[in-house]
Amino acid sequence: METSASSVSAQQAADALLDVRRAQHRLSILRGYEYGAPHFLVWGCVWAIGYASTALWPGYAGVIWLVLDALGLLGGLLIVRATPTDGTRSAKSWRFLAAGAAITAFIAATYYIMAPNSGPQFGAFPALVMALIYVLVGIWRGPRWAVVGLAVGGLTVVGYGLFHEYFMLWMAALGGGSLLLTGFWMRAA
Amino acid sequence: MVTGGDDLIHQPLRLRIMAAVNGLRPSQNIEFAQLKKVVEATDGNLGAHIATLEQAGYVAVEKVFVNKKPRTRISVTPAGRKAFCKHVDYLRDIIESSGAG
Repeated sequence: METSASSVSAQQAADALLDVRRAQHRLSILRGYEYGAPHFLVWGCVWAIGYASTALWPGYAGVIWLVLDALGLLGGLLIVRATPTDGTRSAKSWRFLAAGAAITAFIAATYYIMAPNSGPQFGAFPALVMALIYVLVGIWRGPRWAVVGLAVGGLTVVGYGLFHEYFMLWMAALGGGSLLLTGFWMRAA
Repeated sequence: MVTGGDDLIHQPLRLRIMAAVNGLRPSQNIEFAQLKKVVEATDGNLGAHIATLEQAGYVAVEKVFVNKKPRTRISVTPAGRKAFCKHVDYLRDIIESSGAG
């Protein structure tokens, strides 16, 4: 039975406002997945190619990641610019680049202060940083972000501990694969 | 008793639809399939309530073809946004005037 808007009790009004907030929260989560999906697909490819190339040519790891990270950021920037907006495209592009620069600077500064002693340490740290970021985003913006963060973080630690010798290939297959799967999973949300 | 509520928007599913489309930016719209997930409704129920809101001038419905597949996109009109905000204010007034807010 429908209630007339002219005879609403305080409890009914509170319930209605709760319904409004829930709908807006669900929309925010689904939109976050929609915007995040193509970025996961891009970075899944970057990780798969990057870690596999590092395993094959460890001496060129620095150059490989410099080029691939630049391509990843460029791809992300193109996605941001292709996303329908309300005229805030330049602001979003600026924020995207600033976020990429902040993460890169943090990882570079950490490497400078606490230099990695091995290839797996060099490769594991950025993956753990991204896993942390995904979990933090997931706390506010939907469980799928947290799931990918936990998966990437867990796989990184397991690979580092149990498959040290093949860590780069492990990360190419399971790290990159996790990001790609997440991209499809978020797109289907 | 505070008066001024909107009977059309007050219906629970229509309130959720309006909450969702009001959360969009002015140039944005939402596809029917995504709106269905947001408001947790069935196809038929959602379609009927969208038609009611469209007739009232609160939402605009656009039917397009993407890769030869029909897509229905819904957006809020300025009148719909105004009516929704007014109704939410009305609900808040009820809570505040009851002393529960």
